[in-house]
Amino acid sequence: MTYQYIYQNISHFCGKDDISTKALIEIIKISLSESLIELQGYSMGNNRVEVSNLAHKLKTTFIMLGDAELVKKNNILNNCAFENMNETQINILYEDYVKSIFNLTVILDS
Amino acid sequence: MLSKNKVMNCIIVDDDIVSIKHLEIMISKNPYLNYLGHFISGKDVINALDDLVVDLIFLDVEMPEMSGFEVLQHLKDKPSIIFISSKKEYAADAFSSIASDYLVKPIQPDRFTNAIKLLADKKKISDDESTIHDSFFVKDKNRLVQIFVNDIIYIEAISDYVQVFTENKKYLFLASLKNLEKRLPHINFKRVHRSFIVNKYKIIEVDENVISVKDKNIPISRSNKAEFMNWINVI
Repeated sequence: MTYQYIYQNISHFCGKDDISTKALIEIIKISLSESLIELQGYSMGNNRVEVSNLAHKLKTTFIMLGDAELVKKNNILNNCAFENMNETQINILYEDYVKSIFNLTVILDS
Repeated sequence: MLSKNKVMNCIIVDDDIVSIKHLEIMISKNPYLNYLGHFISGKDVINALDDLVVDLIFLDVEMPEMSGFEVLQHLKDKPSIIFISSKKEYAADAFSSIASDYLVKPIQPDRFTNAIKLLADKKKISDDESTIHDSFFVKDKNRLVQIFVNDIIYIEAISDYVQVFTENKKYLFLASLKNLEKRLPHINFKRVHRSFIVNKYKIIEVDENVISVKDKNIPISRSNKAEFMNWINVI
Protein backbone atom coordinates (compact mmCIF):
# COMPACT_ATOMS: atom_id res chain seq x y z
CA MET A 1 0.00 0.00 0.00
CA THR A 2 1.48 3.36 -1.06
CA TYR A 3 0.27 6.96 -0.99
CA GLN A 4 0.14 6.89 -4.79
CA TYR A 5 -2.13 3.82 -4.79
CA ILE A 6 -4.46 5.44 -2.24
CA TYR A 7 -4.45 8.71 -4.16
CA GLN A 8 -5.52 6.91 -7.37
CA ASN A 9 -8.40 5.19 -5.61
CA ILE A 10 -9.66 8.30 -3.85
CA SER A 11 -9.24 10.29 -7.04
CA HIS A 12 -11.73 7.98 -8.77
CA PHE A 13 -14.38 8.87 -6.20
CA CYS A 14 -13.63 12.59 -6.62
CA GLY A 15 -14.04 12.70 -10.38
CA LYS A 16 -10.24 12.78 -10.89
CA ASP A 17 -10.06 16.25 -9.36
CA ASP A 18 -6.76 16.89 -7.57
CA ILE A 19 -7.96 19.50 -5.06
CA SER A 20 -11.01 17.44 -4.08
CA THR A 21 -8.91 14.26 -3.80
CA LYS A 22 -6.41 15.92 -1.46
CA ALA A 23 -9.23 17.45 0.59
CA LEU A 24 -10.91 14.07 1.00
CA ILE A 25 -7.60 12.40 1.93
CA GLU A 26 -7.14 15.04 4.65
CA ILE A 27 -10.57 14.21 6.10
CA ILE A 28 -9.80 10.48 5.93
CA LYS A 29 -6.54 11.12 7.82
CA ILE A 30 -8.42 12.93 10.59
CA SER A 31 -11.11 10.25 10.73
CA LEU A 32 -8.57 7.40 10.93
CA SER A 33 -6.48 9.15 13.59
CA GLU A 34 -9.58 9.72 15.73
CA SER A 35 -10.69 6.12 15.22
CA LEU A 36 -7.24 4.88 16.18
CA ILE A 37 -7.35 6.77 19.47
CA GLU A 38 -10.77 5.25 20.17
CA LEU A 39 -9.62 1.73 19.25
CA GLN A 40 -6.52 1.96 21.42
CA GLY A 41 -8.79 2.55 24.41
CA TYR A 42 -10.83 -0.58 23.66
CA SER A 43 -10.25 -4.29 24.14
CA MET A 44 -12.07 -7.12 22.36
CA GLY A 45 -12.92 -8.62 25.75
CA ASN A 46 -14.94 -5.61 26.87
CA ASN A 47 -15.84 -3.49 23.87
CA ARG A 48 -17.18 -5.71 21.08
CA VAL A 49 -20.20 -3.48 20.47
CA GLU A 50 -18.08 -0.31 20.33
CA VAL A 51 -15.56 -1.97 17.99
CA SER A 52 -18.39 -3.23 15.77
CA ASN A 53 -19.93 0.27 15.59
CA LEU A 54 -16.60 1.84 14.71
CA ALA A 55 -15.93 -0.83 12.07
CA HIS A 56 -19.35 -0.04 10.58
CA LYS A 57 -18.38 3.61 10.30
CA LEU A 58 -14.99 2.83 8.72
CA LYS A 59 -16.31 0.40 6.11
CA THR A 60 -16.84 3.07 3.44
CA THR A 61 -13.39 4.57 4.03
CA PHE A 62 -11.55 1.26 3.60
CA ILE A 63 -13.44 0.47 0.39
CA MET A 64 -12.52 3.91 -0.96
CA LEU A 65 -8.88 3.42 -0.02
CA GLY A 66 -8.87 0.12 -1.93
CA ASP A 67 -7.49 -1.90 0.99
CA ALA A 68 -9.13 -5.31 0.39
CA GLU A 69 -7.44 -7.01 3.37
CA LEU A 70 -8.59 -4.31 5.74
CA VAL A 71 -12.12 -4.42 4.30
CA LYS A 72 -12.17 -8.17 5.07
CA LYS A 73 -10.97 -7.73 8.68
CA ASN A 74 -13.35 -4.81 9.11
CA ASN A 75 -16.34 -6.88 7.95
CA ILE A 76 -15.54 -9.60 10.49
CA LEU A 77 -15.35 -7.06 13.33
CA ASN A 78 -18.40 -5.10 12.12
CA ASN A 79 -20.58 -8.22 11.95
CA CYS A 80 -18.94 -9.94 14.96
CA ALA A 81 -18.46 -12.92 12.61
CA PHE A 82 -16.21 -14.92 14.92
CA GLU A 83 -17.87 -18.34 14.46
CA ASN A 84 -14.66 -20.20 13.59
CA MET A 85 -12.34 -18.21 15.83
CA ASN A 86 -11.22 -18.67 19.43
CA GLU A 87 -10.49 -15.79 21.84
CA THR A 88 -6.78 -15.70 20.99
CA GLN A 89 -7.48 -15.50 17.26
CA ILE A 90 -10.04 -12.73 17.80
CA ASN A 91 -7.52 -10.73 19.82
CA ILE A 92 -4.84 -11.24 17.17
CA LEU A 93 -7.29 -10.09 14.49
CA TYR A 94 -8.09 -6.99 16.55
CA GLU A 95 -4.44 -6.12 17.15
CA ASP A 96 -3.71 -6.66 13.47
CA TYR A 97 -6.66 -4.41 12.57
CA VAL A 98 -5.44 -1.59 14.81
CA LYS A 99 -1.90 -1.99 13.43
CA SER A 100 -3.19 -1.81 9.83
CA ILE A 101 -5.04 1.42 10.58
CA PHE A 102 -1.93 2.84 12.22
CA ASN A 103 0.10 1.94 9.11
CA LEU A 104 -2.47 3.67 6.93
CA THR A 105 -2.17 6.89 8.94
CA VAL A 106 1.61 6.72 8.50
CA ILE A 107 1.25 6.29 4.71
CA LEU A 108 -1.28 9.13 4.50
CA ASP A 109 1.09 11.39 6.46
CA SER A 110 3.93 10.75 4.03
CA MET B 1 -30.32 21.56 -17.85
CA LEU B 2 -32.70 23.21 -15.42
CA SER B 3 -32.91 26.95 -15.27
CA LYS B 4 -31.38 28.71 -12.28
CA ASN B 5 -34.59 28.83 -10.25
CA LYS B 6 -34.98 25.04 -10.60
CA VAL B 7 -31.82 24.28 -8.64
CA MET B 8 -32.59 22.02 -5.68
CA ASN B 9 -31.61 23.11 -2.18
CA CYS B 10 -30.07 20.08 -0.51
CA ILE B 11 -28.68 18.96 2.85
CA ILE B 12 -26.81 15.88 4.09
CA VAL B 13 -27.74 13.95 7.22
CA ASP B 14 -24.97 11.51 8.15
CA ASP B 15 -22.78 10.81 11.17
CA ASP B 16 -19.65 9.91 9.17
CA ILE B 17 -17.40 12.85 8.27
CA VAL B 18 -15.72 11.01 5.38
CA SER B 19 -19.06 10.28 3.71
CA ILE B 20 -20.17 13.87 4.29
CA LYS B 21 -17.01 15.26 2.68
CA HIS B 22 -17.30 12.88 -0.26
CA LEU B 23 -20.93 13.91 -0.87
CA GLU B 24 -20.04 17.59 -0.50
CA ILE B 25 -17.46 17.20 -3.26
CA MET B 26 -19.97 15.61 -5.62
CA ILE B 27 -22.68 18.14 -4.76
CA SER B 28 -20.30 21.05 -5.41
CA LYS B 29 -19.73 19.77 -8.96
CA ASN B 30 -23.41 19.22 -9.72
CA PRO B 31 -25.29 22.02 -11.53
CA TYR B 32 -28.70 20.94 -10.22
CA LEU B 33 -27.80 21.27 -6.55
CA ASN B 34 -27.39 24.09 -4.07
CA TYR B 35 -25.78 22.86 -0.84
CA LEU B 36 -27.12 24.26 2.43
CA GLY B 37 -25.11 22.19 4.91
CA HIS B 38 -24.95 18.95 6.85
CA PHE B 39 -26.32 17.52 10.08
CA ILE B 40 -24.83 14.65 12.04
CA SER B 41 -28.01 13.44 13.73
CA GLY B 42 -31.69 13.04 12.98
CA LYS B 43 -32.66 15.18 15.94
CA ASP B 44 -30.54 18.10 14.67
CA VAL B 45 -32.10 18.05 11.23
CA ILE B 46 -35.69 17.83 12.49
CA ASN B 47 -35.13 20.98 14.58
CA ALA B 48 -33.27 22.81 11.80
CA LEU B 49 -35.92 22.19 9.16
CA ASP B 50 -38.13 24.79 10.84
CA ASP B 51 -35.82 27.43 9.40
CA LEU B 52 -34.74 25.88 6.10
CA VAL B 53 -36.40 25.43 2.76
CA VAL B 54 -35.03 22.10 1.55
CA ASP B 55 -35.87 20.31 -1.71
CA LEU B 56 -33.66 17.25 -1.23
CA ILE B 57 -32.13 15.38 1.72
CA PHE B 58 -29.30 12.87 1.41
CA LEU B 59 -30.27 10.75 4.37
CA ASP B 60 -28.05 8.07 5.92
CA VAL B 61 -29.99 4.99 7.00
CA GLU B 62 -27.90 3.83 9.97
CA MET B 63 -27.24 6.54 12.51
CA PRO B 64 -27.04 6.35 16.31
CA GLU B 65 -30.16 7.39 18.25
CA MET B 66 -32.43 7.82 15.20
CA SER B 67 -32.30 5.94 11.90
CA GLY B 68 -32.93 7.60 8.54
CA PHE B 69 -36.33 5.89 8.34
CA GLU B 70 -37.30 7.33 11.74
CA VAL B 71 -36.16 10.80 10.66
CA LEU B 72 -38.40 10.50 7.61
CA GLN B 73 -41.42 9.74 9.80
CA HIS B 74 -40.85 12.95 11.78
CA LEU B 75 -40.71 15.24 8.74
CA LYS B 76 -44.02 17.06 8.20
CA ASP B 77 -43.37 18.68 4.83
CA LYS B 78 -41.40 15.93 3.14
CA PRO B 79 -38.79 16.98 0.56
CA SER B 80 -37.28 14.50 -1.92
CA ILE B 81 -35.18 11.89 -0.14
CA ILE B 82 -32.15 10.00 -1.40
CA PHE B 83 -31.16 7.36 1.12
CA ILE B 84 -27.47 6.55 1.48
CA SER B 85 -26.03 3.51 3.21
CA SER B 86 -23.01 1.25 3.25
CA LYS B 87 -25.41 -1.73 3.18
CA LYS B 88 -27.56 -2.86 0.27
CA GLU B 89 -30.18 -4.60 2.40
CA TYR B 90 -32.20 -1.49 3.23
CA ALA B 91 -32.88 -0.72 -0.43
CA ALA B 92 -36.26 -2.48 -0.51
CA ASP B 93 -37.47 -0.59 2.59
CA ALA B 94 -36.17 2.66 1.13
CA PHE B 95 -38.00 2.22 -2.16
CA SER B 96 -41.21 1.26 -0.39
CA SER B 97 -41.03 4.65 1.39
CA ILE B 98 -41.13 7.95 -0.50
CA ALA B 99 -37.43 7.73 -1.37
CA SER B 100 -36.40 8.91 -4.83
CA ASP B 101 -33.28 6.78 -4.84
CA TYR B 102 -30.93 4.65 -2.78
CA LEU B 103 -27.16 5.06 -3.08
CA VAL B 104 -24.69 2.55 -1.67
CA LYS B 105 -21.52 3.96 -0.08
CA PRO B 106 -18.95 4.66 -1.27
CA ILE B 107 -21.06 6.41 -3.88
CA GLN B 108 -19.76 6.15 -7.44
CA PRO B 109 -19.69 9.62 -9.08
CA ASP B 110 -21.54 8.39 -12.21
CA ARG B 111 -24.26 6.81 -10.11
CA PHE B 112 -24.62 10.04 -8.15
CA THR B 113 -24.88 12.15 -11.32
CA ASN B 114 -27.55 9.85 -12.77
CA ALA B 115 -29.59 9.89 -9.56
CA ILE B 116 -29.64 13.69 -9.50
CA LYS B 117 -30.37 13.96 -13.22
CA LEU B 118 -33.34 11.58 -12.86
CA LEU B 119 -34.68 13.51 -9.89
CA ALA B 120 -34.25 16.87 -11.63
CA ASP B 121 -36.07 15.58 -14.73
CA LYS B 122 -38.87 14.18 -12.57
CA LYS B 123 -39.23 17.51 -10.77
CA LYS B 124 -39.27 19.39 -14.05
CA ILE B 125 -42.03 17.13 -15.41
CA SER B 126 -44.06 17.48 -12.23
CA ASP B 127 -43.63 21.29 -12.31
CA ASP B 128 -44.70 21.37 -15.95
CA GLU B 129 -47.73 19.25 -15.15
CA SER B 130 -48.85 21.49 -12.30
CA THR B 131 -51.32 23.77 -13.98
CA ILE B 132 -51.12 27.37 -12.94
CA HIS B 133 -54.44 29.24 -12.92
CA ASP B 134 -55.40 32.83 -12.19
CA SER B 135 -57.57 31.65 -9.32
CA PHE B 136 -58.48 28.59 -7.28
CA PHE B 137 -61.36 27.50 -5.08
CA VAL B 138 -61.10 26.57 -1.43
CA LYS B 139 -63.60 25.17 1.01
CA ASP B 140 -64.92 27.79 3.44
CA LYS B 141 -67.40 26.06 5.78
CA ASN B 142 -69.92 24.55 3.35
CA ARG B 143 -69.16 26.80 0.39
CA LEU B 144 -66.43 26.88 -2.21
CA VAL B 145 -64.86 30.32 -2.36
CA GLN B 146 -62.78 31.63 -5.23
CA ILE B 147 -59.42 33.22 -4.44
CA PHE B 148 -57.72 35.22 -7.18
CA VAL B 149 -53.95 34.74 -7.01
CA ASN B 150 -53.30 38.42 -7.66
CA ASP B 151 -55.22 39.28 -4.48
CA ILE B 152 -52.99 37.13 -2.30
CA ILE B 153 -50.53 39.03 -0.12
CA TYR B 154 -48.90 36.07 1.55
CA ILE B 155 -49.56 32.49 2.63
CA GLU B 156 -48.60 30.97 5.95
CA ALA B 157 -48.30 27.28 6.86
CA ILE B 158 -49.91 26.39 10.18
CA SER B 159 -49.33 22.73 10.99
CA ASP B 160 -51.29 20.74 8.33
CA TYR B 161 -53.21 23.86 7.22
CA VAL B 162 -52.39 26.95 5.21
CA GLN B 163 -53.76 30.42 5.76
CA VAL B 164 -54.09 32.65 2.71
CA PHE B 165 -54.12 36.39 3.40
CA THR B 166 -55.70 38.71 0.84
CA GLU B 167 -56.38 42.47 1.10
CA ASN B 168 -59.78 41.93 2.70
CA LYS B 169 -59.96 38.42 4.03
CA LYS B 170 -58.05 35.41 5.24
CA TYR B 171 -58.80 31.77 4.42
CA LEU B 172 -57.73 28.74 6.41
CA PHE B 173 -57.87 25.34 4.75
CA LEU B 174 -56.20 21.92 4.74
CA ALA B 175 -53.29 21.90 2.28
CA SER B 176 -49.52 21.81 2.17
CA LEU B 177 -47.50 24.90 1.32
CA LYS B 178 -45.48 22.81 -1.10
CA ASN B 179 -48.53 21.80 -3.18
CA LEU B 180 -49.95 25.30 -3.14
CA GLU B 181 -46.59 26.72 -4.25
CA LYS B 182 -46.77 24.55 -7.38
CA ARG B 183 -50.10 26.13 -8.37
CA LEU B 184 -48.86 29.69 -8.08
CA PRO B 185 -47.00 31.61 -10.79
CA HIS B 186 -43.31 31.55 -9.84
CA ILE B 187 -42.74 35.03 -11.18
CA ASN B 188 -45.11 36.50 -8.52
CA PHE B 189 -44.79 34.05 -5.66
CA LYS B 190 -41.81 32.72 -3.76
CA ARG B 191 -41.30 30.51 -0.75
CA VAL B 192 -39.12 32.74 1.43
CA HIS B 193 -39.26 30.63 4.58
CA ARG B 194 -40.36 27.13 5.50
CA SER B 195 -43.71 28.58 6.61
CA PHE B 196 -44.25 31.49 4.21
CA ILE B 197 -44.92 32.21 0.55
CA VAL B 198 -45.01 35.86 -0.44
CA ASN B 199 -46.40 37.77 -3.43
CA LYS B 200 -43.60 39.96 -4.83
CA TYR B 201 -46.03 42.67 -5.91
CA LYS B 202 -47.38 43.08 -2.36
CA ILE B 203 -44.00 43.66 -0.71
CA ILE B 204 -43.66 47.13 0.80
CA GLU B 205 -40.03 46.90 1.91
CA VAL B 206 -37.24 44.52 2.84
CA ASP B 207 -35.16 45.14 5.93
CA GLU B 208 -32.27 42.70 6.38
CA ASN B 209 -34.05 39.36 6.81
CA VAL B 210 -37.58 40.68 7.18
CA ILE B 211 -40.15 41.39 4.45
CA SER B 212 -42.87 43.91 5.22
CA VAL B 213 -46.26 43.44 3.62
CA LYS B 214 -49.59 44.90 4.75
CA ASP B 215 -49.86 44.44 8.55
CA LYS B 216 -47.24 41.71 8.65
CA ASN B 217 -43.50 41.12 8.87
CA ILE B 218 -42.34 37.91 7.20
CA PRO B 219 -38.95 36.31 7.93
CA ILE B 220 -36.60 35.25 5.13
CA SER B 221 -34.62 32.06 5.71
CA ARG B 222 -30.87 32.49 5.60
CA SER B 223 -30.71 29.79 2.95
CA ASN B 224 -33.18 31.68 0.73
CA LYS B 225 -31.76 35.17 1.09
CA ALA B 226 -29.49 35.24 -1.97
CA GLU B 227 -32.11 33.69 -4.25
CA PHE B 228 -34.75 36.08 -2.87
CA MET B 229 -32.61 39.16 -3.52
CA ASN B 230 -32.07 37.97 -7.06
CA TRP B 231 -35.81 37.37 -7.52
CA ILE B 232 -36.93 40.85 -6.38
CA ASN B 233 -34.50 42.44 -8.84
CA VAL B 234 -32.46 44.83 -6.69
CA ILE B 235 -30.79 47.55 -8.76
